[in-house]
Amino acid sequence: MSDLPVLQNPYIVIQTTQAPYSTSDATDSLEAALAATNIGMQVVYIFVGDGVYQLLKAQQSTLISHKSIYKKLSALPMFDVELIFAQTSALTTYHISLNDISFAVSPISDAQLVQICAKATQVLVF
Amino acid sequence: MNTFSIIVNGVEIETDKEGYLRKSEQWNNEVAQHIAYLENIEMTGERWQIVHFVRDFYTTYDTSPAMRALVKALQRTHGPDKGNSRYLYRLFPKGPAKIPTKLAGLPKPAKCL
Amino acid sequence: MTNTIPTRFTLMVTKSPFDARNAHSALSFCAAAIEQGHSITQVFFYQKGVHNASSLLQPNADELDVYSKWCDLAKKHAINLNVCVTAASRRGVVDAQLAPEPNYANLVWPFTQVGLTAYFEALNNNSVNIQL
Repeated sequence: MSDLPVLQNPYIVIQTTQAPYSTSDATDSLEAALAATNIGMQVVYIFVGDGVYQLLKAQQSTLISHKSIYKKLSALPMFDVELIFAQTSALTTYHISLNDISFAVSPISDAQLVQICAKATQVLVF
Repeated sequence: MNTFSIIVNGVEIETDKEGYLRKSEQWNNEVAQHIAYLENIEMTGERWQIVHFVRDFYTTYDTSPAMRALVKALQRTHGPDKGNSRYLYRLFPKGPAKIPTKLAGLPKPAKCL
Repeated sequence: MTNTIPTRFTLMVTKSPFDARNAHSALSFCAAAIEQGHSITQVFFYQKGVHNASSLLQPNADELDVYSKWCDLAKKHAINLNVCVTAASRRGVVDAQLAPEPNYANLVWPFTQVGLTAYFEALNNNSVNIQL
């Protein structure tokens, strides 16, 4: 596991903790992140627990008449969300790999997750 | 209630009250041309390029690009000459992200973003 | 209670009344915070929380009337009750401007429709966020 990037400027953390389609939480956390960067806030976006299911690239959401959460997430860097992490313990539990993801997501340990949240100005959990 | 439409080549195409298409798959270049006519915009090569770019953005990301994202994505693909807000304002003074989104037949970007 | 340094709180309410107790908890939190000399910069209704803002809520007579409690709180302490416009319109909570006809509106003062960015602007204002 690589070292955490040094986060110098104030930042908020948004944790997304739910699977992509059973509730609207994945969409709502994403929209919150975009709104925050819209007023120049630095956002750290973290996939926690079941939230890592959002990172499955092969999701075929059109089958349930839904836009793809994965595709929407891959636009995060375009909206200036560049610091994106996923909880390693959850990735391991659900056998999800970050290898074939088309945008940069770094794995973090539970200890690192706590460190990042401890230094944040605010933490939102969806 | 709340139904509006335009007719292009004899095909009725549903829109919302502001003229954004309800079904983006009904879009084609002629539909774009028609919306441009309604918006009083002449479709030059430069404008077509942005409209197709916005359409591709939506296909890739399932998201209509807001201003910042559009500028950033344009920068990555076409460099700083086109990836800047001044260029987009010059082409679409009434809404540098909104108007190309509308011309590309995409849903209006979410209100609160 | 000893002297405390006043804190500015921002609340984000994300659950609907009746289905969850979150709104009750938020109301109690506001009352306790104000009593202790703290202030509430805004209450922001997001996700299912937007249902708190519907003037059409009709709880049974022997249940807590969450809607009236919010209105009382806002009027008494001049607290902004901000409702995410996108989350609300998706769920049929609309003001006179968004309703198909103005008298269909179920989002009225002291609730106001705002964008999500308004919430983050208030957060920037050195306030402590409570999400529930």
